[in-house]
Amino acid sequence: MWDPKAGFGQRMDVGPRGQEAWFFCLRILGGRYAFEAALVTEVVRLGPLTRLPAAPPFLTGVFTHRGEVLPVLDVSQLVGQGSIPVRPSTRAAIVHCGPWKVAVVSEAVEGLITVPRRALEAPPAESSGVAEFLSGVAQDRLGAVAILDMPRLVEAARARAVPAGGAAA
Amino acid sequence: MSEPFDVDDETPAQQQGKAGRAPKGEAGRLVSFLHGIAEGKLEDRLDVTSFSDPGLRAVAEQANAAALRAAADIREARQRVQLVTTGVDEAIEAMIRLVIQGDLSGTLRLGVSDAALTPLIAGIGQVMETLKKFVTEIREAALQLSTSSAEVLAAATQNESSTSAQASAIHETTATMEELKGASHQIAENAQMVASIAEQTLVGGRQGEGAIKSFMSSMESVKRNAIEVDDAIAKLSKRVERIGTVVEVIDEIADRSDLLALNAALEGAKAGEAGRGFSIVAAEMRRLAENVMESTKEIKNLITEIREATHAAKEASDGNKKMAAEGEKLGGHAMESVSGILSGIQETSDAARVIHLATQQQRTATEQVVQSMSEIEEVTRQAQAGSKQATGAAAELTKLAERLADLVKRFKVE
Amino acid sequence: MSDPISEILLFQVGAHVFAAPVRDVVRIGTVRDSAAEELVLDTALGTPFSRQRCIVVASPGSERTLVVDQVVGFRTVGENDVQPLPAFAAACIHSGALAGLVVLDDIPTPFIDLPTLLREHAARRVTPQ
Repeated sequence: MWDPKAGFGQRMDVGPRGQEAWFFCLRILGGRYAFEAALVTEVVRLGPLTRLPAAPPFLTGVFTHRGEVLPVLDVSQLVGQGSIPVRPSTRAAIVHCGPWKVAVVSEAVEGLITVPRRALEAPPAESSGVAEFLSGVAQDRLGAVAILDMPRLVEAARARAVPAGGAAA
Repeated sequence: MSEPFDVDDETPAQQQGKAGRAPKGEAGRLVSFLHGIAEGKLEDRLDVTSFSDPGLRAVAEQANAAALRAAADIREARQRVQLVTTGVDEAIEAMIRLVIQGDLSGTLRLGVSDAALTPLIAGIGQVMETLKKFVTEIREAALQLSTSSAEVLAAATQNESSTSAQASAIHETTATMEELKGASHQIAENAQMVASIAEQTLVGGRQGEGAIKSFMSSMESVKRNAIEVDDAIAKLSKRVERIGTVVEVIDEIADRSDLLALNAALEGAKAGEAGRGFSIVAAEMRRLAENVMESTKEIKNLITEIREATHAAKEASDGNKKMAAEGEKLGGHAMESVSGILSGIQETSDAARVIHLATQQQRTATEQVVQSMSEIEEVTRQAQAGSKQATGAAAELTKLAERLADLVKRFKVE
Repeated sequence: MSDPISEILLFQVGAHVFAAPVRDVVRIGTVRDSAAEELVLDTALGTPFSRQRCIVVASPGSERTLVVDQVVGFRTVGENDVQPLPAFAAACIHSGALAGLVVLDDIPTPFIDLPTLLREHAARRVTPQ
């Protein structure tokens, strides 16, 4: 049963035997992108960001939330398609991917959606841009939605962070 | 039976009745024969040989001869009559032909000839001749008439158009004259206005003269003022610069103090707890230095403002000086112009009055012209009407002439 | 006696404020006072708008001078206020100059290891990218 008070971290019936798959949907790159709902712990308003020196472009900065300092990930910058402007109204979803905890910034947050498992289709063959991080595509009553493999995306981002010249201390 | 020679006593009928009782003998045969002759039977002949009486035989021979003669005469007469009748018929036919075909060209020839017809032929010939002459004359007259009426028509038409043109020309002239009348009226009014304005301007001009004179003297004082201002500005600038230098020095000192304070605080921080007091003093010093720098910043801003104001004033003063010089020049020009204007105005005033009078005269003259033009227009209109009539009549005439010509065309005279 | 690490210097380079432990700072000076070849302008921290101040940094064997826009001041911070970078950020940032974050008034401020910063700068100069 879904308990709203328990937050997004509660496990849902997402096992392979479950008929419905739960995803969390954001609007980025002008489209609907969703990833495994269980990864999301919270949705926050971003607030003022502190830029970090020597940071890669997709790491827009850090901010404090409930006493914790969180890094902000901009998927648009990661795939080289512009950047998401940060305004007072900008929302991000805090995701946990293994050891990484990042706030994924969005143009808008849609929220939880369900898609029947059998309705999930393979992603398009192209492997450039954001397409290389898709695990599938689906349709729901609001239209098409691309399913992101968020852990893979975050890991790839980390791998792409090029050392800023010179040997670290 | 009566006596054979007692014919007076009896009526022919009685006689005829009596004839049944034919006279006896040969006398009786004579009587009947003569009776027959009298009745027109001229073909009978007496057989003279049958008369025994020589006297009667002689009478019978004579009677025969008479009858023969009479018959011949009558035959001849009949022939003649036939001839003449034929001739007359022919003549009539010829005349009819004449009338129908209109052929007067030839002379009348009859198939028959007879002396009795001669006068008739002559008469008819005369008639034909007369007719020929008549027709010829008519033809010529018709031709002449045609020509003349064409000429008249042409002339009338020309006349009509020229009177029409004249009428419109006159009309135009009238209209122009009307305009002229109106315009000259306006001119007269304007001239009146000009005259009064000139009067006013004269007064104003004299006042202007005085104003310019005072303007010239104020330019003088402006010039003098400008020089004084210049001096004052120069002095002010020097003072401001001096202040600026002083402020710079203060700034420098404040900056140094700030630096000292910073480093003092640094040492204090490094020393940790021991340097706490030191750090506090250093912090205070820094605040002081910051205050000084704030003040000097304010002064520097002020100095900048003064510099700008001074610069503006100097420019204004320079402008003033230039302006004063210009003003003096302009004033001189103005004086000349005013004098010129004053004399000009006087002339204008006089001229305006002259124009006024002239236009009044012109107005009267124009009115007269307009009057005359209307009269001419009237006459022309009548002439136009007349020539239209003439044109109409000429056209009618021409038509008639044509008809006549058509009529006489039917008659051949050559 | 408090741990020297909790005394920090706040300074401004360009549009950003940074923090550094006071123990790495030898002296605060002006650009005028320093020799031109010692001035370090273009680091991972950015380029200063003006050249008001220099921070003379302690480096073994030499002094190097970082040019900054302003020295904001000093702060005493508790040990808990100095935190390491979040894991993802640390994994993505390969510069040793960013030693962590100091949270001041709820605002995380980059905590800079000045000697490392200048060393990395010098290394970049030698091997141009």
